[in-house]
Amino acid sequence: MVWSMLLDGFATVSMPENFIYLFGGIVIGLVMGAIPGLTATMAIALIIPMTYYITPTQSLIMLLAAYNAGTFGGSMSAILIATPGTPAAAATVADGFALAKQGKAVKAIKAALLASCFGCLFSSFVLTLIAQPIARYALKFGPAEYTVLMVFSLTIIASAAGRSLTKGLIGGCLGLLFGCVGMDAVYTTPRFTFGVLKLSSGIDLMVLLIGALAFSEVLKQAGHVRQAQNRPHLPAPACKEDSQFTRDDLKLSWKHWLRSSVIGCVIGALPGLGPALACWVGYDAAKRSAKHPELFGKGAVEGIAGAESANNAVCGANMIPLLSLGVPGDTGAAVLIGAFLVQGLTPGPLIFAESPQTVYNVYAGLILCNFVLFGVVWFTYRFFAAVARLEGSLIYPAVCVFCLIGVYALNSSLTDVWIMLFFAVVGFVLSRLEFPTVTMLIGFILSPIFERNARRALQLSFGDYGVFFRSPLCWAFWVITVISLVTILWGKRKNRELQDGL
Amino acid sequence: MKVKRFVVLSLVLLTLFALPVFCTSASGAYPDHAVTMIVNYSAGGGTDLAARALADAASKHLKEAIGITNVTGGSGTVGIAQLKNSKNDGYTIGVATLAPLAIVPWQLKVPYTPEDFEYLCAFGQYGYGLVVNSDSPYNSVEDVLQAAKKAGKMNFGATGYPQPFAMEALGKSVGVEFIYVNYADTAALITDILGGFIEVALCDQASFTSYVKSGQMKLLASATDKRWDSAPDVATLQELGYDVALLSYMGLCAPAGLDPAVLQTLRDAFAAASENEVYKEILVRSNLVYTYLPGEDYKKMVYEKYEEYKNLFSERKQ
Repeated sequence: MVWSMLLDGFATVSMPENFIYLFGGIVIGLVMGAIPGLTATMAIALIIPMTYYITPTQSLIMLLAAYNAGTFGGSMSAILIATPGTPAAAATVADGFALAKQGKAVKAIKAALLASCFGCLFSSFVLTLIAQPIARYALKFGPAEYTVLMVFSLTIIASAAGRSLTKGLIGGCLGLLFGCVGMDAVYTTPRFTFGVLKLSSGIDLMVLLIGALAFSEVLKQAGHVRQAQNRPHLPAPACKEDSQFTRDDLKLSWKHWLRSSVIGCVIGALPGLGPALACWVGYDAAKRSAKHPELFGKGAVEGIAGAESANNAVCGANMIPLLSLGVPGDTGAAVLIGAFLVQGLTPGPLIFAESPQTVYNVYAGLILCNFVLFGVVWFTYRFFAAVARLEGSLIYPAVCVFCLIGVYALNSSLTDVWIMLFFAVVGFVLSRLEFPTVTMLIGFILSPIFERNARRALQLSFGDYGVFFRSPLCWAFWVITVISLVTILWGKRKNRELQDGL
Repeated sequence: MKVKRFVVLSLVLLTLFALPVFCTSASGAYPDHAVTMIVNYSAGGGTDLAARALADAASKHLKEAIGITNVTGGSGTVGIAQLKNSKNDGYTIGVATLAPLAIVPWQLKVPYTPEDFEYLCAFGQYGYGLVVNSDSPYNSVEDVLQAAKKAGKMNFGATGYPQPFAMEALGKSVGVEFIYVNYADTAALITDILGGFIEVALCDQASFTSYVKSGQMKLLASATDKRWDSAPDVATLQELGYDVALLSYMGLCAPAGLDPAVLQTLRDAFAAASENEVYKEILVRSNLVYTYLPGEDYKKMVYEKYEEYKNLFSERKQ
C-alpha cells in the first residue's frame, strides 16, 4: 500500500508538467541560497503567491525543492567567497573556504553537494517510513527537556573554541548577550533596545551572520588590497585530484554523513530548532569523532561532510512534525503551512485523509529532488567556480554590495543594515584579537531558545527547579552534557597547545 | 591603484542598485504608477497571504500594480512606523492591524498614534478560542473554571495580546487567578498543548483550526463575537454567559493628510476588491474570518480600542 502509493507518487512527479516545477524550484532555491541575505525561507515565501493557481503537488514539490536547494546553495558562497548564503551554511565557511584557498574549491563544492544530497535523502526516507512514531516521541520534549538539551548544546561552544578556551567562552558569552536583545520572553519588557523599535524583536540571525562573517571579511580584505598583485581570488588547482572527490575522501566522509544525517533528523523533528543549529551540532560531532580534529578549520573534507549532511537532513525531517502533527519544525516549514492552506489542505494528520496521494507525491518529490539537485549542480558548478579565477579586487566590492542589498532585502529595513555594519566591526575586531567568531554565533543561536524554554519551564512549574530533573529525557541530556564536558577538559589536558589557564 | 579600483567599483555598483529609487515621479491623475503596500508581518503568514490576495484584486480596480513590501518586527509596529514616515501621496499604503495600532503602544514606545493615519478599511477579522488537548479531562469552560478554582491558580498559554485580557476577565468573573505564560512562537504553544505541558490556551483561530479539525485539540468556546466557521457547534463565551469577546482586525491605512479624492479612490478600490472571489477563498482557507468594515468604522474602532487598552494596561500597573 505504502509502496504502491510511493510509486504512484514517483510517476506523478516525473510527469513533465510536474517535473518542470520541481526543476524550477531547484533553480530558484539554488540561486537565492547562493546569494547572501536571501535565505531558503525567503525563497519559499516569495514562491508561495505564485502557487495559487497550480495543483497542490506542483506547489509543494516546487517549494520543497527550493527549500532543499536553497539550503545547499548557501554553502556554495560559503566555499567560494567565505560568505554563508544562508544561516545553515555558517559551519561550512571555515573548512570550505580553507579548501578553496588551497585551490580545492571544486573538491569542496563536490563534498558539500554529496553530503547535502545524502542528508536530505536519508531524512526523506526516515520521513516516508517512520514519521509517525518519531513525531509522537518528539512531543515528549517540553520546555524543561529543551532547556537541558540547550545546556548540552552550550558545550559545543567549548569545542568550537579552537586554541584558547578562554577566548572561545568570552565569544560565546558575547553571543548569548546579543541574543538577549529584544523583548524578554515572559514580561515583554524591551531589553538593550536603546529605544530602537526594530531591535524590540531582536537581532535577526542573518543580519548578525552577514555582518560578523561576511562583511568583516570584506574589511579584512580591504586591508590587504594594497599589497595584492593582479592575482586571482583563489589559487588554481595544483593537480587533477584537487578538483575531485576521491575514494579517500569518501572513506573519510561516509561515517560523518550518516552520523550528521541522524543528528539533522533529530533536530528537524524537534520543532523550534532548525538547520542553523543542526549544522553546528553536526560539525561538532564530526570534529569530536575525527581522527585528526586539529585539521578542522584548516580544510577538512570531513568538516564539510558533518555540517552539510546535518543541515540538509533537516529539510526532510522538518516535514515529520509538519505532516504528522501539523507543527512546523522551523521558520521555513512555518511558511510552508501557508502554502498547504491556500491549496485547501490541512497540514497535519488530516492531510492523510484529505489527500493521501498528495502526501506520497511530496515524499516522492523530496526524494527525487536530491537527484535533480545533484544533476543540476554537477553540470553547472564550473560556472559558479569561475568566481575563483576573478581577482580579489573585483570579488570583494561585489560581496560588499550583496551584503548590503541582501540585508536590506531581508526586512526592507535600513536599521538592519546599520546593525549588520555594527557586527562587521565586532567581527573584524574579534578576529583581529584572535577570538573565534563562530563561538559568538553559536551563543547567539542558542541564547533565545535556552532562555525562552528555561523561563517557560519555571513558569509552568510555578518556580520549582526540580522540573529540570524530572523526566528520563532530562536525565539523559544531563549525562551527555557531563560526558561532553569531561571529554573537552580531558582533551585539553592531553594537548599542550590548547592550555591557556582554564 | 588597487584601492581606487576597490572603492570605485563599490560605488558604481551601489549607485546602479539605487537608480530605480529616483526614477519614480508623480504627475497626472492618481494613480499613474504602482502603489506600494507595506505588510507589517512576514511573508507567507496568514495576514500576508490575505493582504496579497486583496492587493491583487484591488490592483484591477486601480488599474495599477500594487507591490508588497514586508516590513516586520516589533510585534508588527515597525511596518506601521514606516508607513507613518512615508509620503502621503497615496502611493504608499500599509496593513495596520488592530493590535500594533491600539495595544502594543501601551507596552512599547512607538513613534505613532492612531491620529497619524487615514483609514481605508478593515478587511479581515482574527478569531480566538479556548482550547485544550483532546485527552484533557475538561470538556467545557465550566470544567476549566472549576479546576482552576480548586487549584487556586492555573497557567494558560497565549501568543500575545489581546488574548490574556480575555482570560483575566474570565477568571475575574468567578474569582480565580489565571497566570499568563507567554509563547512568542505559536509553534511552541502548539507542541506544548499537544505534549500536555500546558493545560489550556487562548489561541488564535488561524493557527489552531487545523488541530481542532483533526481532533488533536478540543475547542471549548470561541472568544470572539462569532462562532468558528470550522466548529459551528461550539458556542462563544458570550453565549455561555461570560462577558468576554476579543475583537481584532486586519486593516489598511495610509499616512495622514492624504488628498480626500485619493483617499476615496483607494477606499472604493478596496471595497470592490473585498468582494473578489479568489480573495474570499484565500481568506477562508487561511482560517481568517471574512469581514469588511468601511474606513470610517475601522477608524472609530481603533480610537475606541486605543483608549480601552490604555485603561486596561494602567489598571494592571497599579
